[in-house]
Amino acid sequence: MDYSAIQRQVLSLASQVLKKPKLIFEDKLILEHALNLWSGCLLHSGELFDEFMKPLDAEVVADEFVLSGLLYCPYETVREEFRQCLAAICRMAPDQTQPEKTKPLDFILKLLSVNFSLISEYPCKQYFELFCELLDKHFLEVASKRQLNSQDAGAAGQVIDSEALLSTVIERIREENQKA
Amino acid sequence: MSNGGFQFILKDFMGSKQGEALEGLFELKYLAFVLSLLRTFIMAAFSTTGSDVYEVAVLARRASQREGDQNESQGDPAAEESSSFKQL
Repeated sequence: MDYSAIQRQVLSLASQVLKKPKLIFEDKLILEHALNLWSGCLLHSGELFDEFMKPLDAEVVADEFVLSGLLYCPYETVREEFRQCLAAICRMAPDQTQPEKTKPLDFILKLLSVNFSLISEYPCKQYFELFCELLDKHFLEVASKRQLNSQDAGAAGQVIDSEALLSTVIERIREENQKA
Repeated sequence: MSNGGFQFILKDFMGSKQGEALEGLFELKYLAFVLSLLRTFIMAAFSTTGSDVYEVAVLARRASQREGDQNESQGDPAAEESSSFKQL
């Protein structure tokens, strides 16, 4: 079975649905099944994530796809589906034979970290919950690598810019306090 | 599966043109049904390989539980609970 083709078709479909200004029940059902199928394919065959990050055609841009489902979408059920799906993908065990490959956890965490400043403009419960979950997982992994004195520990610690993130969080809190 | 039903569904799904498939209500229902069948068969196949079975099963179970929930709001984002940064 050509999982790569299935991934392209499923992502393209989900992306088209997300572009609709208004979603009805069937649209949400399609998104739910599409995300389930996609995460299943990824869990089965981890190299598909590389294709997702660097697609051959520019129809589905990874960053845009994740943010449009997890943050921009006005429907809570859809955002929740994305949160569940991305959390499951990030729990994937990394490929030990190719440690240089970008892990889903690192990719998604970096994406969420870089776009953290956007969250006050959208409903962000799912984004925030996923971000916290991935941060926990990331730092647990870094700590466990340090315990093993692994050389990867230093590189793993550089996935997110903690200082910039902290500044953004403080800035957002200040803004919200000023609004109140 | 022995009669080629799965292959037929897969071929039909892969051949569907997305602009057309997402237009009418019938087409949407059909696509959702085809996706549901594909998901069920492919997940069942994955579960036999033993890798990450738990994750897949949790996602599939959760989805199937919600499938019967036809009472969900029909497209009004305002009807769904908001979750702003301020509320967090």
